[in-house]
Amino acid sequence: MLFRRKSKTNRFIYSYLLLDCLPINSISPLAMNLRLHLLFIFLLLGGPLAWGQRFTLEGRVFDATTQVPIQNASVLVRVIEVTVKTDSLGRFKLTLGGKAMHALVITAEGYRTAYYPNVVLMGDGNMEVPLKTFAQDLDEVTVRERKADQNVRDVRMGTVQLNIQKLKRIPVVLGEPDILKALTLQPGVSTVGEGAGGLNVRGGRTDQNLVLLDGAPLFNTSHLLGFFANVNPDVVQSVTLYKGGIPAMYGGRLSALLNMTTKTGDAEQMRISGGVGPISSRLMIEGPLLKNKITYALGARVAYPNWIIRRLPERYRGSEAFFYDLNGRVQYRINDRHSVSLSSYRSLDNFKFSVEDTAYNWVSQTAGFQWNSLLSKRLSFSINGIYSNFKSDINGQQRANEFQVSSAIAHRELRTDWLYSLEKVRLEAGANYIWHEVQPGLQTPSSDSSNIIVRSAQTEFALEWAAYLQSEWTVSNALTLQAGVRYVNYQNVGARNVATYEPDLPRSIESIISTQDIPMGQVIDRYGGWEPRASLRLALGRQSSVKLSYNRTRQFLHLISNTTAISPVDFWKLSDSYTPPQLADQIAIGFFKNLKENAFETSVEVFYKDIKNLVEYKDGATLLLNPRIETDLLPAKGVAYGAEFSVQKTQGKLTGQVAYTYSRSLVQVQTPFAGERINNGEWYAATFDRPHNLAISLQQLLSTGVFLGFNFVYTTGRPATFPDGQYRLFNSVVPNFSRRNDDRIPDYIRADLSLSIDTRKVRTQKKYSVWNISLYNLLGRPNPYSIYFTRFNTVMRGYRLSVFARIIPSVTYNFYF
Amino acid sequence: MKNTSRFFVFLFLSMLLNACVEEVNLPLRDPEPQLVVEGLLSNDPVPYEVKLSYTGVFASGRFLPSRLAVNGALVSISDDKGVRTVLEQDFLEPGTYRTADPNFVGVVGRTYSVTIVTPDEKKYVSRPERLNAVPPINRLYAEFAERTRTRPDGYEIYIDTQDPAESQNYYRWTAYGFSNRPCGNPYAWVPFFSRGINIFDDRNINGKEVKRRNVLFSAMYGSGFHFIEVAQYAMSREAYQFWQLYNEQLNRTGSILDPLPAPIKGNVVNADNPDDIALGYFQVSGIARRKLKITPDTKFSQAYVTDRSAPFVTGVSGLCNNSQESAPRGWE
Repeated sequence: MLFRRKSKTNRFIYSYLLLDCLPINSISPLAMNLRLHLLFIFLLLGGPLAWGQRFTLEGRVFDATTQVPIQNASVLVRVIEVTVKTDSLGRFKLTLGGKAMHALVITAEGYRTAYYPNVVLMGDGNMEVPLKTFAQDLDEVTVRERKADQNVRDVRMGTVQLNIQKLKRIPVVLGEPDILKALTLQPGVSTVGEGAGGLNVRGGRTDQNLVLLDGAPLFNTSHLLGFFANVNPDVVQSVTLYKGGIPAMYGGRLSALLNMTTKTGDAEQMRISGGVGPISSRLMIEGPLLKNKITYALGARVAYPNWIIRRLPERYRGSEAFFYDLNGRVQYRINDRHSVSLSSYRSLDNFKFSVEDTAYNWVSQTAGFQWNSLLSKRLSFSINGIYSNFKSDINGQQRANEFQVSSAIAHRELRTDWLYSLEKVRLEAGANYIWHEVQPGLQTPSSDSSNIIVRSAQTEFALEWAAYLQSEWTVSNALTLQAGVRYVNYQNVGARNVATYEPDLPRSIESIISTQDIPMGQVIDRYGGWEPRASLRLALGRQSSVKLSYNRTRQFLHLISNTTAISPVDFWKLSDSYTPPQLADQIAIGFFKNLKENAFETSVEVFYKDIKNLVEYKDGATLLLNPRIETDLLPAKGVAYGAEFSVQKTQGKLTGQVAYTYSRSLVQVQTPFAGERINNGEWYAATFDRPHNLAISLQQLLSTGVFLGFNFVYTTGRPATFPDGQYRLFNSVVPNFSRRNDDRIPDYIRADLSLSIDTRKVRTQKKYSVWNISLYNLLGRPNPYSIYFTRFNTVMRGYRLSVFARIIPSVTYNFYF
Repeated sequence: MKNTSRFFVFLFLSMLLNACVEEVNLPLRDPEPQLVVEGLLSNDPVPYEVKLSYTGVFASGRFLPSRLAVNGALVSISDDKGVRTVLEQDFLEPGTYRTADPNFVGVVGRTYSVTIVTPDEKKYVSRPERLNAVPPINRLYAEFAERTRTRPDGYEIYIDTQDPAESQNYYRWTAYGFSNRPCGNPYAWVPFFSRGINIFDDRNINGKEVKRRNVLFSAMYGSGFHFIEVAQYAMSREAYQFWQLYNEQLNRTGSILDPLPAPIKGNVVNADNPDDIALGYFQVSGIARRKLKITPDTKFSQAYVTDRSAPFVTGVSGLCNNSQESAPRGWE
């Protein structure tokens, strides 16, 4: 296997260097080029040697195909067990004893491990480490893919790195590989229901996740009202979810950071790949515009659910549904020190329901510019310009009442990030500036004969700047400390008409004392402050460690939504005089232990999160187009806590993860006015509070390229409000719902099975295809999606609604040319 | 618009052809009985009525079981000028109290409040509400509507009214009618009522006409007369919100895009404990009424008689409920 693809370089040299050989299949041919480099070091610097002398070894880890630097790759020196991480430019630095023979292991999520068993330094040296992605590795399971014990040795905790390649191997709904759905199999990540958009991370709301695509925030992550994620997994290079210990570099959301980067394109040749599924098809083209200098990657996905609708009963026939998403990225590698890239993304959905004469559209767009630069061996920086917007429209087509209601949010950001690395200390610093603009709602008549008048909620403007400093200090082999602080300042500015309310009355239109017109650009309120972020790792022997983390986060943007799941009538709102920023403090402690030479990774993490200024809604609130929306909002307190247990098997023919989470998420609304309190001001369960959560995800290699995937999910039913009594009003029997979220819908249990077939005979094969055959909800269990109550004549009856009440089979075909 | 969102999920569920809905038993909790107030004061002629009951289990909305009626309460209505009138209980109708003073008539612009002392000595007072003026119904008209799968041929009844531009207006409509149907020989008069809560706020059309507001459907079971009366109410914002919640509650489909269920908080509160809020509402409204008489239309009734063997004529439950042989009073 090692020499399957005959290297042009001299095999004698390798043989010479590989004296004490390791399992032969763990060495990639590309790694050999490195050994050649090292040989050069050996030869060039091979002057008089001194025992005990120490030299510096610097290196760069990058994607073998795309030449993109790989951040956060681990470089482990065996025996002395020192690990260093690569920075955002893929660089690392080690100080090693001279003359001694060192073994280096370089690992990165999603890439094959590179192993250099015989590194001998005769002086300061440089090395280039190209890593190959798993995609090109057919026999990856026989490769010990995660030799490095990253989960034990990394100071970070509460992070999940998703292997994009595995997405095509796990069972999917209706043939759509889905990044967000795959993340819900991780401990501490859940969703409010089947087919609901967004993620709830460690008891946080869906709007509390900072979702970044190439640095640009996404304000909506769903296609088809939440059935699918709106990021095409084909174009995504890496996915990292931070459930806690969010780096000081990032801010603006309370609960989590989901960082996705897209591919920059193959540097060598043009490649076409794609897929066909029952709901949508995907296509991706990538390649060099100028070999090894300029690369591009373009991805597209288009859905065709309309053909299903045409098979529906007559009353649905006029309905329409459609979505697409596009990604594009161009990278120009000017030289070894500088590269620039441009990226853009667009996602569109529309949906029309014939019976109601209403059509919905929503569009997300991003554009970004990035300049990465390496000033010296120690110092590098990047500058980013980011634009992102989200627009949604509701179009009413009822005769004489045609209207359009649109809402929009725009984000314009400039940021710079600097990295200075010393031997044992890494310093990161940077600053950013954001201009926020939100139109929560604008209603216009959409025909001349329409009776609808123009009406709008006030447009909101705010500026936000932040600066941060973070250092990672490897105190000793046993102790690593990461400490950072972020200072953020937020100002909402005019033009705006601000109302002042009678202080002793609940806020309402009637309790307005006066109103004031704030001119354009004038600061209305200032919020912000320090956000400390800290992590600590203490090793307990080679295979286990204890980690601690604390972080404070603020959020100035709120998704206004009075429904259980994200819906198309939701809109965003900025913090203002009556809606202070949400503030969260999270503390977490974890124990990590690897067994059987890292074949099993186990962890326990316990977290506690305290949240202030959550946005809640008065009963019967009017949210859309409300020019004084503060009269319908209530401040709430939140608390979330839990314990996450995970066992992961990363080697062998059977791989997978078993994750169990116990967590709670509670809310309290206390106001001086009794009529506004929810549940009389007592703590109650958040709508997505699901205490028990078990997820098993396994992949079994059956034969070359053939995988059997299995998922099992068990979660407690989400809270719901059931009627507790009835009364009679105006000749109708009315259910009374006196206690919010005091009941629960039944538990959720699901198992899925999939078979994926990779047609490659050898791993270097360029043209091949991958089939995924999925059986979703194998048990055919009608899992309750909601319980609701309807009058039947005058009697209240309860009904249970299930979304996927049967087995959902699907077949997806993926091709690579 | 609000109701739209929940249809989404339904569409999708059907689209996937795998969704299912099953009936489940209600896991009802058994909380303490709460006071329920239903009252209306208007510029209509006296008497005005307040009904008091407790929460419990009901077999039907039409009748109030006597064990859940609140009898022996002290009920009074007062206005902002200090005029107060005590309501008398109707002992034939459990839990029903009526004004007795023929001079106590609702006046536009005044503010009214109800005070209730229950038999267990709890005092509830409603937040005062202003009796708002209501614009007249400018036009009341009927349009023939062909049968659908869920209803027979009939007339859709619409109103037009001019919304005043200078104020925020909240409307509610109720309607009832009599239609002459083949119940007996020759025909009999059958009363029918508007269903559901028909409310509207003028935010989207302020100052323009409320046009083609559908207030009633009058089913055509024969070629007789249809008598319709529509009442248009002016409500406070609070009352409007109350009805809006009431409507949402009765029309939930169980989608997670439905607004979260919540207690429908009314305007009657325990004077000694602000956390004890009675259910129901004491509504104060200006009312405008208008009548419409639909004469038999040969064209439609001919079509009805000859071409259409309407499945609705025979075996329709309630077709002849409460029918009377003589024409209703006030319509001759």
